[in-house]
Amino acid sequence: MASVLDKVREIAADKLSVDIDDISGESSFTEDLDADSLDIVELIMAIEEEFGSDDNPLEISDEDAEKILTVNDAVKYLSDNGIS
Amino acid sequence: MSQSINKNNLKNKTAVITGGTRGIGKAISAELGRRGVNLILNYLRNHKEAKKTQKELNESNVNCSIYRCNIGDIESVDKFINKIALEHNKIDILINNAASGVMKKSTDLDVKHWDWTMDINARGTWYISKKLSNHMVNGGNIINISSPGSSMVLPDYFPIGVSKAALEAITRYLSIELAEKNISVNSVSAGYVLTDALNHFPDKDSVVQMAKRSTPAGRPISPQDVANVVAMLCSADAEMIRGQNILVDGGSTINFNH
Repeated sequence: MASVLDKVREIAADKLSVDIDDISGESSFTEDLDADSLDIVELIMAIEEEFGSDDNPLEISDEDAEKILTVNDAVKYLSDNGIS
Repeated sequence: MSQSINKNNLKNKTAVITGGTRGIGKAISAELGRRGVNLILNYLRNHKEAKKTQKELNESNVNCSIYRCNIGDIESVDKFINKIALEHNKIDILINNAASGVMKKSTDLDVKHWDWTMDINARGTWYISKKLSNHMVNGGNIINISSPGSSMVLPDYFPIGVSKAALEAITRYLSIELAEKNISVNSVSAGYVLTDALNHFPDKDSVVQMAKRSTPAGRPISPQDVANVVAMLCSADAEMIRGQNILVDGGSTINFNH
Protein backbone atom coordinates (compact mmCIF):
# COMPACT_ATOMS: atom_id res chain seq x y z
CA MET A 1 0.00 0.00 0.00
CA ALA A 2 1.33 3.43 -0.95
CA SER A 3 2.44 5.61 1.95
CA VAL A 4 0.70 8.95 2.59
CA LEU A 5 3.81 10.68 1.26
CA ASP A 6 3.68 8.72 -2.00
CA LYS A 7 -0.06 9.33 -2.33
CA VAL A 8 0.42 13.10 -1.91
CA ARG A 9 3.29 12.99 -4.45
CA GLU A 10 0.96 11.14 -6.86
CA ILE A 11 -1.77 13.73 -6.41
CA ALA A 12 0.69 16.59 -6.92
CA ALA A 13 2.11 14.91 -10.04
CA ASP A 14 -1.40 14.50 -11.47
CA LYS A 15 -2.72 17.97 -10.62
CA LEU A 16 0.45 19.89 -11.48
CA SER A 17 1.47 17.81 -14.52
CA VAL A 18 4.91 17.15 -13.06
CA ASP A 19 6.90 13.90 -13.22
CA ILE A 20 6.48 12.13 -9.87
CA ASP A 21 10.23 11.48 -9.70
CA ASP A 22 10.75 15.23 -9.57
CA ILE A 23 8.60 15.52 -6.43
CA SER A 24 10.07 14.94 -2.97
CA GLY A 25 8.81 15.64 0.52
CA GLU A 26 10.68 18.93 0.52
CA SER A 27 9.16 20.13 -2.77
CA SER A 28 7.38 23.45 -2.46
CA PHE A 29 4.17 23.48 -4.48
CA THR A 30 4.59 27.04 -5.72
CA GLU A 31 8.37 27.48 -5.84
CA ASP A 32 9.53 24.05 -7.04
CA LEU A 33 6.43 22.70 -8.80
CA ASP A 34 5.23 25.97 -10.30
CA ALA A 35 1.70 25.77 -8.86
CA ASP A 36 -0.53 28.85 -9.12
CA SER A 37 -3.43 29.68 -6.81
CA LEU A 38 -5.90 27.65 -8.86
CA ASP A 39 -3.55 24.63 -8.79
CA ILE A 40 -3.40 24.93 -4.99
CA VAL A 41 -7.21 24.93 -4.73
CA GLU A 42 -7.39 21.83 -6.96
CA LEU A 43 -4.60 20.15 -5.00
CA ILE A 44 -6.30 20.73 -1.65
CA MET A 45 -9.62 19.48 -3.04
CA ALA A 46 -7.92 16.36 -4.44
CA ILE A 47 -6.27 15.66 -1.05
CA GLU A 48 -9.65 16.08 0.68
CA GLU A 49 -11.24 13.67 -1.77
CA GLU A 50 -8.44 11.09 -1.56
CA PHE A 51 -8.21 10.98 2.22
CA GLY A 52 -11.84 11.70 3.13
CA SER A 53 -15.01 9.71 2.55
CA ASP A 54 -18.75 10.40 2.46
CA ASP A 55 -19.07 9.16 6.04
CA ASN A 56 -15.92 10.83 7.30
CA PRO A 57 -15.17 13.83 5.08
CA LEU A 58 -11.79 15.50 5.31
CA GLU A 59 -12.28 19.25 5.43
CA ILE A 60 -9.15 21.40 5.20
CA SER A 61 -10.00 24.97 6.18
CA ASP A 62 -8.68 27.90 4.15
CA GLU A 63 -6.52 28.91 7.11
CA ASP A 64 -4.93 25.44 7.28
CA ALA A 65 -4.60 25.23 3.48
CA GLU A 66 -2.58 28.46 3.50
CA LYS A 67 -0.01 26.77 5.75
CA ILE A 68 0.43 23.76 3.45
CA LEU A 69 3.34 24.94 1.33
CA THR A 70 5.26 21.71 0.72
CA VAL A 71 4.52 18.02 0.22
CA ASN A 72 5.79 17.37 3.76
CA ASP A 73 3.43 20.07 5.11
CA ALA A 74 0.52 18.15 3.56
CA VAL A 75 1.74 14.85 5.01
CA LYS A 76 2.14 16.45 8.45
CA TYR A 77 -1.35 18.00 8.25
CA LEU A 78 -2.79 14.58 7.42
CA SER A 79 -0.80 12.92 10.20
CA ASP A 80 -2.00 15.57 12.71
CA ASN A 81 -5.54 14.72 11.62
CA GLY A 82 -5.14 11.00 12.18
CA ILE A 83 -4.21 9.98 8.64
CA SER A 84 -0.88 8.20 8.34
CA MET B 1 -55.24 41.85 -1.07
CA SER B 2 -55.16 38.57 0.84
CA GLN B 3 -55.43 36.71 -2.46
CA SER B 4 -52.40 38.60 -3.81
CA ILE B 5 -50.33 37.71 -0.74
CA ASN B 6 -51.44 34.11 -1.01
CA LYS B 7 -50.52 33.56 -4.62
CA ASN B 8 -47.03 34.90 -3.98
CA ASN B 9 -46.55 32.70 -0.96
CA LEU B 10 -43.41 30.58 -1.18
CA LYS B 11 -44.15 28.64 2.02
CA ASN B 12 -43.20 24.96 1.92
CA LYS B 13 -41.47 25.22 -1.41
CA THR B 14 -38.02 23.66 -1.64
CA ALA B 15 -35.06 25.51 -3.13
CA VAL B 16 -31.58 24.45 -4.14
CA ILE B 17 -29.15 27.37 -3.88
CA THR B 18 -25.67 26.77 -5.21
CA GLY B 19 -22.99 28.76 -3.42
CA GLY B 20 -25.76 29.56 -0.95
CA THR B 21 -23.70 29.82 2.23
CA ARG B 22 -21.74 33.03 1.63
CA GLY B 23 -22.10 36.52 0.20
CA ILE B 24 -25.03 37.16 -2.14
CA GLY B 25 -25.97 33.45 -2.01
CA LYS B 26 -26.31 33.63 1.77
CA ALA B 27 -28.59 36.71 1.51
CA ILE B 28 -30.74 34.85 -1.04
CA SER B 29 -30.88 31.81 1.27
CA ALA B 30 -31.94 33.95 4.23
CA GLU B 31 -34.59 35.81 2.21
CA LEU B 32 -36.14 32.65 0.75
CA GLY B 33 -35.93 31.04 4.20
CA ARG B 34 -37.79 34.03 5.69
CA ARG B 35 -40.51 33.44 3.10
CA GLY B 36 -40.96 29.86 4.26
CA VAL B 37 -38.85 28.03 1.69
CA ASN B 38 -36.99 24.84 2.72
CA LEU B 39 -33.36 25.23 1.73
CA ILE B 40 -30.78 22.89 0.22
CA LEU B 41 -27.51 24.81 0.12
CA ASN B 42 -24.41 23.81 -1.76
CA TYR B 43 -20.85 24.93 -1.05
CA LEU B 44 -17.42 24.01 -2.32
CA ARG B 45 -14.55 25.04 -0.07
CA ASN B 46 -15.52 26.99 3.01
CA HIS B 47 -16.85 24.32 5.35
CA LYS B 48 -16.73 26.47 8.47
CA GLU B 49 -18.78 29.27 6.88
CA ALA B 50 -21.26 26.72 5.47
CA LYS B 51 -21.85 25.20 8.89
CA LYS B 52 -22.18 28.66 10.46
CA THR B 53 -24.79 29.69 7.86
CA GLN B 54 -26.73 26.47 8.39
CA LYS B 55 -26.71 27.03 12.17
CA GLU B 56 -27.90 30.64 11.79
CA LEU B 57 -30.72 29.62 9.45
CA ASN B 58 -31.78 26.69 11.63
CA GLU B 59 -31.86 29.03 14.64
CA SER B 60 -34.23 31.29 12.63
CA ASN B 61 -36.50 28.25 12.20
CA VAL B 62 -35.51 27.78 8.56
CA ASN B 63 -35.28 24.18 7.40
CA CYS B 64 -31.82 24.07 5.83
CA SER B 65 -29.39 21.34 4.83
CA ILE B 66 -25.90 21.79 3.35
CA TYR B 67 -24.08 19.66 0.81
CA ARG B 68 -20.58 19.90 -0.53
CA CYS B 69 -20.35 19.72 -4.30
CA ASN B 70 -18.09 21.07 -7.04
CA ILE B 71 -20.55 22.46 -9.60
CA GLY B 72 -17.76 22.30 -12.19
CA ASP B 73 -17.40 18.54 -11.77
CA ILE B 74 -20.09 16.42 -13.45
CA GLU B 75 -19.55 13.41 -11.18
CA SER B 76 -19.81 15.62 -8.09
CA VAL B 77 -23.06 17.21 -9.38
CA ASP B 78 -24.56 13.78 -10.13
CA LYS B 79 -23.80 12.62 -6.58
CA PHE B 80 -25.29 15.85 -5.18
CA ILE B 81 -28.51 15.44 -7.18
CA ASN B 82 -28.84 11.76 -6.26
CA LYS B 83 -28.58 12.68 -2.56
CA ILE B 84 -31.19 15.43 -2.94
CA ALA B 85 -33.54 13.08 -4.81
CA LEU B 86 -33.37 10.56 -1.96
CA GLU B 87 -34.30 13.15 0.63
CA HIS B 88 -36.79 15.39 -1.20
CA ASN B 89 -39.69 14.32 -3.38
CA LYS B 90 -39.71 17.56 -5.37
CA ILE B 91 -37.73 20.72 -6.01
CA ASP B 92 -39.47 24.03 -6.76
CA ILE B 93 -36.67 26.58 -7.06
CA LEU B 94 -33.08 26.43 -8.27
CA ILE B 95 -30.79 29.42 -7.74
CA ASN B 96 -27.58 29.05 -9.74
CA ASN B 97 -25.43 31.40 -7.71
CA ALA B 98 -22.15 29.45 -7.39
CA ALA B 99 -19.39 31.10 -9.35
CA SER B 100 -15.66 30.93 -9.53
CA GLY B 101 -13.01 32.23 -11.84
CA VAL B 102 -9.46 33.26 -12.43
CA MET B 103 -9.03 37.02 -12.47
CA LYS B 104 -6.83 37.59 -15.51
CA LYS B 105 -6.75 39.44 -18.80
CA SER B 106 -7.39 37.39 -21.95
CA THR B 107 -3.70 37.64 -22.87
CA ASP B 108 -2.50 36.25 -19.53
CA LEU B 109 -5.02 33.43 -19.22
CA ASP B 110 -4.10 29.73 -19.43
CA VAL B 111 -6.42 27.10 -20.91
CA LYS B 112 -6.84 25.47 -17.48
CA HIS B 113 -8.06 28.84 -16.07
CA TRP B 114 -10.60 29.11 -18.90
CA ASP B 115 -11.81 25.55 -18.32
CA TRP B 116 -12.12 25.96 -14.54
CA THR B 117 -14.17 29.17 -14.92
CA MET B 118 -16.41 27.96 -17.74
CA ASP B 119 -16.95 24.53 -16.13
CA ILE B 120 -18.38 26.09 -12.98
CA ASN B 121 -20.12 29.24 -14.22
CA ALA B 122 -21.51 28.11 -17.58
CA ARG B 123 -21.44 24.32 -17.98
CA GLY B 124 -22.33 23.79 -14.31
CA THR B 125 -25.35 26.09 -14.57
CA TRP B 126 -26.64 24.26 -17.64
CA TYR B 127 -25.97 20.78 -16.27
CA ILE B 128 -27.51 21.20 -12.83
CA SER B 129 -30.54 22.97 -14.40
CA LYS B 130 -31.02 20.13 -16.87
CA LYS B 131 -30.76 17.45 -14.16
CA LEU B 132 -32.81 19.23 -11.49
CA SER B 133 -35.56 20.22 -13.93
CA ASN B 134 -36.49 16.51 -13.90
CA HIS B 135 -37.24 16.87 -10.18
CA MET B 136 -39.31 20.06 -10.59
CA VAL B 137 -42.45 18.00 -11.00
CA ASN B 138 -44.83 20.88 -10.23
CA GLY B 139 -42.94 23.38 -12.36
CA GLY B 140 -40.84 26.05 -10.72
CA ASN B 141 -38.27 28.78 -11.07
CA ILE B 142 -34.63 28.83 -12.04
CA ILE B 143 -32.72 32.04 -11.34
CA ASN B 144 -29.14 32.40 -12.54
CA ILE B 145 -26.91 35.02 -10.95
CA SER B 146 -25.00 36.95 -13.57
CA SER B 147 -22.78 40.02 -13.65
CA PRO B 148 -22.49 43.25 -15.67
CA GLY B 149 -19.16 41.79 -16.90
CA SER B 150 -21.25 39.73 -19.33
CA SER B 151 -21.72 42.79 -21.53
CA MET B 152 -19.14 45.30 -20.21
CA VAL B 153 -15.39 44.92 -20.14
CA LEU B 154 -14.22 44.93 -16.52
CA PRO B 155 -10.53 44.84 -15.55
CA ASP B 156 -9.00 41.32 -15.18
CA TYR B 157 -12.45 39.80 -15.67
CA PHE B 158 -12.06 38.11 -19.05
CA PRO B 159 -13.00 34.46 -18.35
CA ILE B 160 -15.69 35.34 -15.83
CA GLY B 161 -17.26 37.96 -18.10
CA VAL B 162 -17.32 35.46 -20.97
CA SER B 163 -18.81 32.76 -18.72
CA LYS B 164 -21.52 35.17 -17.56
CA ALA B 165 -22.38 36.02 -21.18
CA ALA B 166 -22.78 32.27 -21.73
CA LEU B 167 -24.88 32.05 -18.58
CA GLU B 168 -27.26 34.72 -19.88
CA ALA B 169 -27.58 32.86 -23.20
CA ILE B 170 -28.22 29.64 -21.24
CA THR B 171 -30.95 31.55 -19.36
CA ARG B 172 -32.71 32.46 -22.62
CA TYR B 173 -32.51 28.95 -24.09
CA LEU B 174 -33.65 27.24 -20.88
CA SER B 175 -36.53 29.70 -20.48
CA ILE B 176 -37.98 28.56 -23.80
CA GLU B 177 -37.00 24.91 -23.64
CA LEU B 178 -38.17 24.37 -20.04
CA ALA B 179 -41.40 26.37 -20.47
CA GLU B 180 -43.27 23.17 -21.33
CA LYS B 181 -42.39 21.89 -17.84
CA ASN B 182 -43.85 25.11 -16.39
CA ILE B 183 -40.41 26.23 -15.28
CA SER B 184 -39.56 29.92 -15.62
CA VAL B 185 -35.92 30.88 -16.04
CA ASN B 186 -34.39 34.33 -15.55
CA SER B 187 -31.11 35.83 -14.49
CA VAL B 188 -30.30 38.60 -12.02
CA SER B 189 -27.24 40.70 -12.52
CA ALA B 190 -25.88 42.73 -9.64
CA GLY B 191 -23.48 45.62 -9.92
CA TYR B 192 -20.52 45.73 -7.53
CA VAL B 193 -21.88 44.39 -4.22
CA LEU B 194 -19.73 44.50 -1.10
CA THR B 195 -18.96 40.82 -0.34
CA ASP B 196 -15.83 38.73 0.32
CA ALA B 197 -15.76 37.88 -3.40
CA LEU B 198 -14.30 41.34 -4.13
CA ASN B 199 -11.14 40.39 -2.20
CA HIS B 200 -10.19 38.13 -5.13
CA PHE B 201 -9.88 41.05 -7.57
CA PRO B 202 -6.22 41.93 -8.23
CA ASP B 203 -7.12 45.60 -7.75
CA LYS B 204 -9.37 44.91 -4.79
CA ASP B 205 -9.02 48.33 -3.14
CA SER B 206 -10.52 50.20 -6.09
CA VAL B 207 -13.24 47.56 -6.58
CA VAL B 208 -14.18 47.76 -2.90
CA GLN B 209 -14.29 51.56 -3.26
CA MET B 210 -16.66 51.16 -6.23
CA ALA B 211 -18.88 48.81 -4.23
CA LYS B 212 -19.06 51.34 -1.39
CA ARG B 213 -20.01 54.13 -3.80
CA SER B 214 -23.55 55.37 -3.87
CA THR B 215 -25.76 54.71 -6.90
CA PRO B 216 -28.30 57.07 -8.50
CA ALA B 217 -30.78 55.34 -6.16
CA GLY B 218 -28.99 57.09 -3.29
CA ARG B 219 -27.01 54.24 -1.69
CA PRO B 220 -24.71 51.33 -2.55
CA ILE B 221 -26.15 47.95 -3.61
CA SER B 222 -26.44 45.35 -0.85
CA PRO B 223 -26.72 41.54 -1.07
CA GLN B 224 -30.24 41.99 0.33
CA ASP B 225 -31.22 44.08 -2.74
CA VAL B 226 -30.26 41.14 -4.97
CA ALA B 227 -32.04 38.65 -2.70
CA ASN B 228 -35.26 40.69 -2.83
CA VAL B 229 -35.32 40.62 -6.64
CA VAL B 230 -34.56 36.90 -6.73
CA ALA B 231 -37.45 36.24 -4.32
CA MET B 232 -39.73 38.46 -6.41
CA LEU B 233 -38.84 36.48 -9.54
CA CYS B 234 -39.79 33.27 -7.71
CA SER B 235 -43.27 34.63 -6.96
CA ALA B 236 -46.41 34.22 -9.03
CA ASP B 237 -46.43 37.94 -9.89
CA ALA B 238 -43.33 37.36 -12.03
CA GLU B 239 -44.88 34.46 -13.95
CA MET B 240 -44.72 36.25 -17.31
CA ILE B 241 -41.11 37.40 -16.96
CA ARG B 242 -39.18 34.78 -18.93
CA GLY B 243 -35.59 34.57 -20.09
CA GLN B 244 -34.73 38.07 -18.93
CA ASN B 245 -31.66 39.46 -17.21
CA ILE B 246 -32.75 41.82 -14.45
CA LEU B 247 -30.10 44.37 -13.54
CA VAL B 248 -29.91 45.34 -9.83
CA ASP B 249 -27.56 48.31 -9.89
CA GLY B 250 -29.46 51.30 -8.51
CA GLY B 251 -29.29 52.84 -11.99
CA SER B 252 -25.47 52.98 -12.15
CA THR B 253 -25.05 51.34 -15.53
CA ILE B 254 -27.26 53.77 -17.43
CA ASN B 255 -26.01 56.83 -15.59
CA PHE B 256 -23.83 59.19 -17.68
CA ASN B 257 -21.64 59.98 -14.63
CA HIS B 258 -21.05 56.30 -13.83
